Amino acid sequence: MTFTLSPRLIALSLKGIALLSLIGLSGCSSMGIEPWVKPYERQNLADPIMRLNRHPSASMHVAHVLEGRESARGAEGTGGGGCGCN
Amino acid sequence: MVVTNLLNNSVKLFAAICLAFTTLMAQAAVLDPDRADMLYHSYEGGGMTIDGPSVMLRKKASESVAITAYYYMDSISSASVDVISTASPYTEKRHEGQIGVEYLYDKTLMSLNLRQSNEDDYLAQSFSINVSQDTFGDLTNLNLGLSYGDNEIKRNGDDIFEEQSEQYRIRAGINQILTRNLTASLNVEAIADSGYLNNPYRTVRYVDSSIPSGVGYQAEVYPETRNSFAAKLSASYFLPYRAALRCFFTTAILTTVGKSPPAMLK
Repeated sequence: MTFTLSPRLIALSLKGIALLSLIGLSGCSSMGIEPWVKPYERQNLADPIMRLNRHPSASMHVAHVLEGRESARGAEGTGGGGCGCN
Repeated sequence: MVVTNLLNNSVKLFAAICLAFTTLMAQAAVLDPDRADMLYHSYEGGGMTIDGPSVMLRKKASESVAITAYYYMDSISSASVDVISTASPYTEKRHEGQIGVEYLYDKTLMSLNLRQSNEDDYLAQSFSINVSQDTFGDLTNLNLGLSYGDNEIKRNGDDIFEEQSEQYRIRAGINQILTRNLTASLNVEAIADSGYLNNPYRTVRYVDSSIPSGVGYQAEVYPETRNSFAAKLSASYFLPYRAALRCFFTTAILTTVGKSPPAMLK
């Protein structure tokens, strides 16, 4: 199967991101939704073990290896580029 | 041209959203704590050995400013497919350095990161800017980022050879607290490369009866544009006894488009 990424698709994605961002910025409260997890209920969420990127060095290494070996790149939330494979 | 227009629009969009972020007033967030990381990585397989150290230091200069320094080294000793077929084994070192600054203003976290990766035949320099904002009673975190990279490609044993390539990245993400034990995030990123994207050492072998050996070699011909779009959905769930269950799903689409000289393969 062949995927093509047209500029139109990228433009649509960017517009979608902009729309979502603006909704987020205006706040869901404008739609009658209030934050449902209170600050005093977040002790579990605040625990470092819940962080999605607990070990940034290891995450950057894995992203580098995936990009170098599989051309899988982006959306990892870490820096990248320059695969060192030449 | 289309990609350039698209990137111009992306930069305008990014600037507008950054401006919107800074107009929001909220209670202050906090920076991540100081940390020092050391990592050693090693890989062996397919005739290749790659290993090296990595160090990362992060220090808060004040309650609103933090500085990060990062060093990573790849030491490569290789006999890859290309090397086995057309060349002799080689050893090479890649040094990567990064320095970053984070600035926290109320609930807006802005960061700037500079990066350089240096090999004897490849120099990559890039910068990236990221902005993230807590909103909706701190249940939602939105983040946006933009990167630009410039690469200088050389070929060992050939002093004349010098090529360039560029890379743009734009990314966005949302992190949402769903329950008192569950958080989820969605990240998307679009990457556009342009310029010399070949491996300068890789050649194609073909049958040629006009040469006494009967076999000729020529450089591969690649398109000069490569785009990719990636998305990652991840979730983290707090378990009893201070454990966490994490899962993620990533998908990436990679396309090579743009002008490509006609294939010269015989």
